[in-house]
Amino acid sequence: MPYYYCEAKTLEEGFPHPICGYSPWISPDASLVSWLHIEKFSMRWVALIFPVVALAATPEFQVERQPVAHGAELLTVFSSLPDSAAEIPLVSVLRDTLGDTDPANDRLRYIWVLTSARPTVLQHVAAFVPFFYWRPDLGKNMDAKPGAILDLGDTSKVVWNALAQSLVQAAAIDSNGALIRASTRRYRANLADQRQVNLMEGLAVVSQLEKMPEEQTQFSEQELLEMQARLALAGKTLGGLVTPERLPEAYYKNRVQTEETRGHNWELLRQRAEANGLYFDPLGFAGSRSHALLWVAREDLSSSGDSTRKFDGRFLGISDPFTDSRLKRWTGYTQTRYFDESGRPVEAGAPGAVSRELIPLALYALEYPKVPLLLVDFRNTRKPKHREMLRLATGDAVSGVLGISRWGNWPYLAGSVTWNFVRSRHGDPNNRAARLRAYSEVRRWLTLDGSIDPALRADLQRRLEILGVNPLEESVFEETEIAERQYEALLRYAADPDGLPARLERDRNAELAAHRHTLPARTGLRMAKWLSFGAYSHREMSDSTSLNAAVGRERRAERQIRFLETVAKSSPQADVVWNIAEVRSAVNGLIATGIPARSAHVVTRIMQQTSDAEIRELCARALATVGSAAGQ
Amino acid sequence: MLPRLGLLLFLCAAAAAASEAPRIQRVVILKVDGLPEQLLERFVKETGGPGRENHSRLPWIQHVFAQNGVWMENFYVRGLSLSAPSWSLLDSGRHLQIRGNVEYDRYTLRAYDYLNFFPFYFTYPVSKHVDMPGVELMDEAGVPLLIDRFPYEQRFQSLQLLQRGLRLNSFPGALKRAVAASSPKDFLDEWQIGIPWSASLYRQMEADLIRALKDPQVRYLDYFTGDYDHTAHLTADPISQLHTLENLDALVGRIWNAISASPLASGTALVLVSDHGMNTSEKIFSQGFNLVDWFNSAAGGGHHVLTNRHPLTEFKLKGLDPFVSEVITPSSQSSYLAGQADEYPTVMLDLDGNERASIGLRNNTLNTIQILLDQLIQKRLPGPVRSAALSALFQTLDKVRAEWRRDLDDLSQELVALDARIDIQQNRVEAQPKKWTKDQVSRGLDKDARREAVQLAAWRAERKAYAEYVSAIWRLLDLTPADFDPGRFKITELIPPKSLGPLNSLWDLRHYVTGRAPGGLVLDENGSLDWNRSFTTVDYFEALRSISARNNVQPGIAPQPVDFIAVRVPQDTLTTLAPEDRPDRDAILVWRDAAHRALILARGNELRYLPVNDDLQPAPWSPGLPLDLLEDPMLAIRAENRERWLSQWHDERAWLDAVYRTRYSNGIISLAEELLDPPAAADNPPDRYRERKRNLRRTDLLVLANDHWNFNVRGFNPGGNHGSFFRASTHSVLLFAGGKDTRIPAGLRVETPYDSLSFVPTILGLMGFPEPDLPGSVIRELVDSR
Repeated sequence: MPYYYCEAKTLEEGFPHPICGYSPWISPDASLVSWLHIEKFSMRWVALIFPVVALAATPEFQVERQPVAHGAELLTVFSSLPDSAAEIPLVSVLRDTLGDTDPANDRLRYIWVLTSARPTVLQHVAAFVPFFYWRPDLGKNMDAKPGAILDLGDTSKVVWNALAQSLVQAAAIDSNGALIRASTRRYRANLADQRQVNLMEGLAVVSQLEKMPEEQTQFSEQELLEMQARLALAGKTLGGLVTPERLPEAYYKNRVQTEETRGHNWELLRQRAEANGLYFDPLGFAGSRSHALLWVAREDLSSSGDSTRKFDGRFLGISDPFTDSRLKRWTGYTQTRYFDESGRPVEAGAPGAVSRELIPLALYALEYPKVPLLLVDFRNTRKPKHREMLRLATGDAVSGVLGISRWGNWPYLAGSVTWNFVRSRHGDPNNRAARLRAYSEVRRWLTLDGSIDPALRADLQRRLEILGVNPLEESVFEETEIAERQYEALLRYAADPDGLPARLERDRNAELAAHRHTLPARTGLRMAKWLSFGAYSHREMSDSTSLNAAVGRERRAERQIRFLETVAKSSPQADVVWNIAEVRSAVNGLIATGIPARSAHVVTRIMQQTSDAEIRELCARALATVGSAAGQ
Repeated sequence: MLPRLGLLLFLCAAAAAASEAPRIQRVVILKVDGLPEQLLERFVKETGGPGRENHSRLPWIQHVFAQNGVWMENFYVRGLSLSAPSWSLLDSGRHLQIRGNVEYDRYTLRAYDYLNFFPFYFTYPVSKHVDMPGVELMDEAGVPLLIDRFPYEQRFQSLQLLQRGLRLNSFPGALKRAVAASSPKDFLDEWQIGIPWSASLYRQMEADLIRALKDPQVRYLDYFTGDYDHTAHLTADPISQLHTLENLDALVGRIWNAISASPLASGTALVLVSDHGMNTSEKIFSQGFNLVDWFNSAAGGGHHVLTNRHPLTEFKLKGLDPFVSEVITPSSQSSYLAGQADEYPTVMLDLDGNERASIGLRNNTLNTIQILLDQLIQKRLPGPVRSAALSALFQTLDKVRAEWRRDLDDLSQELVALDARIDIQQNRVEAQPKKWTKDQVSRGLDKDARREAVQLAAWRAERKAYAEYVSAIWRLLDLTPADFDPGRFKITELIPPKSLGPLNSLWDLRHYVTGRAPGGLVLDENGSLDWNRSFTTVDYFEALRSISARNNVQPGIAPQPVDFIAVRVPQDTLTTLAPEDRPDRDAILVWRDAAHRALILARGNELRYLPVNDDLQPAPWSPGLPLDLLEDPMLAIRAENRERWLSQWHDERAWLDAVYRTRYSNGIISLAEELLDPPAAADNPPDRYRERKRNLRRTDLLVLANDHWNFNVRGFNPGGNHGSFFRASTHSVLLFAGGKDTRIPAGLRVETPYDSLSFVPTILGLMGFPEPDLPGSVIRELVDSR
């Protein structure tokens, strides 16, 4: 079976150039060993086209495709590492292609974040300890099979699990005394935080792919949108239940919110720096301005005898640098920069350039809601951690030790909501999920971005390392090794016939069952499996060729229905907005696959909304054959 | 007899011609706040995504207006590129009555908060107010809106800034749309994604409009959306902005289809118009400079500052108060008004739009008098200093006594006349029926009655406030050295609290007294008060322009937030100009720095740009003058003719044709619109009281921001801003399309520049009832082509 491939070739001019096409000899049926030809292509040439966006030292991403038996492929995002020729695998995504070349029946399934490994037993034990907010070195399961952070085929499972756990916690565990309550609650919180960090790391990487041309990311625009929306929603309590049709809306809302927050905080921090005589220095992943450093000039410290200078630390969270004797004796990291008379940064030799020795004061995340989040205070590295520990300890004491639950105690609920509201109005960073996101983003950015001075990067990483409060987390300094070994473990899992390929087949059966059986029926089948301790496991089809064909048909129908729903919803006259040939083709496709009953409504709408006689006739034909699909 | 017969024949012929011309029976206007033409044009030209190849990204706007309608390529805001004034101009077709998003009466500091809809919406059922503040002001000024040309029962108006009346029944529907999803699944989705509060209100208005379209009686419909403006202020991300425009495009599609399916489809015109553009750039965050903090600071004069919203609203609990229109930010640097912020705010700022600030400073003479009175009343001055201070006080008073007395006399007479109006109005209000029949309600008569009551209440409040001001100033002017006894009065009895007093002169603005000098009052060698050493003063031209930012990390952005300053200069100070240079009314000084300033002069319908020196005498042309006319490559005058052409008087049409593509677009015309009075109508003498109120809403300084700078203080607007004369901010959208009987041409692109004043006359012309006395020109390319 021909197989689509892309690879980098160097042309005579010396520019690497991606070459893509269909290879007749790469077959998904071949053994995995023979597939170790890795189709990888470089993004380096992007810098030639987009010199402003792709700065010389920004991270470069490559996407590697690895076929998986039974018709799937593992797409892994690699990034170059600063000061090293090595590349680090960051995220892998399983695309179930059903072994054919038709993208219409492809489906993304699992997402793995490779920089994190499954916790060891000792880590789990530490995570149970209440008021334990440190990250001791308790070993790593680097070679264990990585756990997917998200199943795009069934995002609701995590929600139901979490709800069930909460129910069990409230109904059966909380009443067993403070120790059990506090430890189980802390453990669950640590697990949830760890998952949140992984989701956000995944999102940070996937969102970078959006800036690259589609043919290089190997993900379609829709797939990238789906992944980003799902990763963002998975961090919310019921986010996994959001229907696929609403994903574009979720994506746009998330994007608008992120962009607004970043700009807002950029301005807030710049103005506060300006008002306080500090230097504002925006930084970020691939020039995204997601973070900022504040500096103070040593020259300004020596002239701080100026008694009229008043430092206002509001929104900055740092103490007055001009009265801080530590800064006058500062021997830590500094940078010498040059400015023209208007304060604009210039090269050292520029006419009229004035040099300033800048001492770093603080690093902020700019994507935190309402205020820039202080991540590193160079004079008091442990301060952000102490704040975090205090917040966690307060929560653990109230809900864990005292057993006061927000949902079981209305006065407490009202009081805490009011308190949080008032504090957040005044800029207190009390949004734990957003803090975790900021924390994971900065780790990822610093690991990959070579545009920062290596000494400053190392200093920042060392200070950020101290921030860790979750025993389940990994050290940022071990991430590269973890990622490499997790990737190898994932490849082993993919190559194992009883591993990923088998799981893929089970998933396809479940997918088909979801189309063919009602919810009560599926619940019954699941109960039967549990009650028989796995002896009975329902399979829609045991023959994988038939199964793939049936699943492919359903997926194509699903895709066509969703396309027609988008068409019907987007415009009262389809032909003004859409290529009418595409609409015809979708209706034709539905007829060809045997139009499912659930499509009748949308086909009727399309029929009403178009003046194209051919489509109307097609719709009429389609409606006449509703429900004729196999198995319906 | 013959001339009368001739006139009759002419009228008959005109009527016959008019009856032959195709008439638009109904107009639907989509009002889009802040939509820039360039951006719309760009996205219309781009191709849609998969499944939409060869279709525009904005297919409905492309289909309805670009292919089947008229696209105005060069439609510009006249005046500031700011919502309240701009919509007032578009909605009325008359010269500006509203010059900012908020205005204050200088004598009473009454706030005219045109954008604050919360008090109006929330108190509508119980208050007497029927209209938004902007409409109330236009009514009092006798300026009708476009909607007023249609009987009450023929109108459908959505929620907007210049709102006449309110459809309360839209709100329950909107609430239902927001929280009552069609299924539990939908509700869950919206809960997780975000409940669409504002979107639901827009969808409800759309549903109401579509319902109204089915009623053939309704001939005027409009729909306002501020969605794009809101998004673009917050983010310059093109995908976020495009998403908002795609929603707008879909709305155009739904409304166009609803029109097509409605009873008057063939005679209906659909018009899309925006009030201003947006200076937004994908790679740049718009940088803010906080003028409230600056005026609070010693460098800015240590003022207590009056604004209409809380600075950094989002970080205060007070910021949640939706009804606020007056916020005083006290200064800790005030040298003589410490602790008196509530009584004596001395600066008022209108910062909206954000690329400009209108600044009102308290009258400089009042400052000097208050400092001297404060010294004489509160402090134990040594004998010679006390005597010199007393003498200085009366010298100061004597300088203004005659002028201020004349002003108070005039105002007192106007208040007497107002009393008579109040009595008449009282009788009208009392004569109104207490109950209204269904028919009367359907004709809006109950609302007309409420309007009369609102006017009565407003006049009474004004009368009281002006009378208090008059009393205080009379007491001040009545002071004499002979019977001056500091123990007899309080300062608040002589210096009216919450009042800025008369406008400042040009000299005052450059020698503005902000406090007593640190060394206190000082005598000169003659034993008189040494004015220079006794007071601290600020030259606001120099001070504002010299503000510079240290953190200037974005390439291409100037370190100075202020571009130039514009002030009105009284006509009587320009008598030294040569006769051919003299204007027939006040002029405008545009000041960038000591070497770059100019006057904008007006004479009839002509304008002139005259570079001047410090004495306001003609100076040679040079690059760097405000508006950059001489050096702008887009000025439509050949380089060798520029100085000559620019040194001449030209009418507005000639100016617009020459400058519309320049960096500051129609800045010269807009400055004249904003700061000057329109040419006087000889046959219609203005109402004195109305004119006074109009003039009392004037500010001292109009400060224009440099490119990508803004003065927003409520929060931050990094995405983009407007308010200035930059082409990005003034270039707005005007598009027409219509059913077959409207004969609106298909695929017509009009390159000729027009401005906001052309909107109403064109609509009225299309509908067959032209009003020749409107100041704006009809869009000939559209009207004639029919």
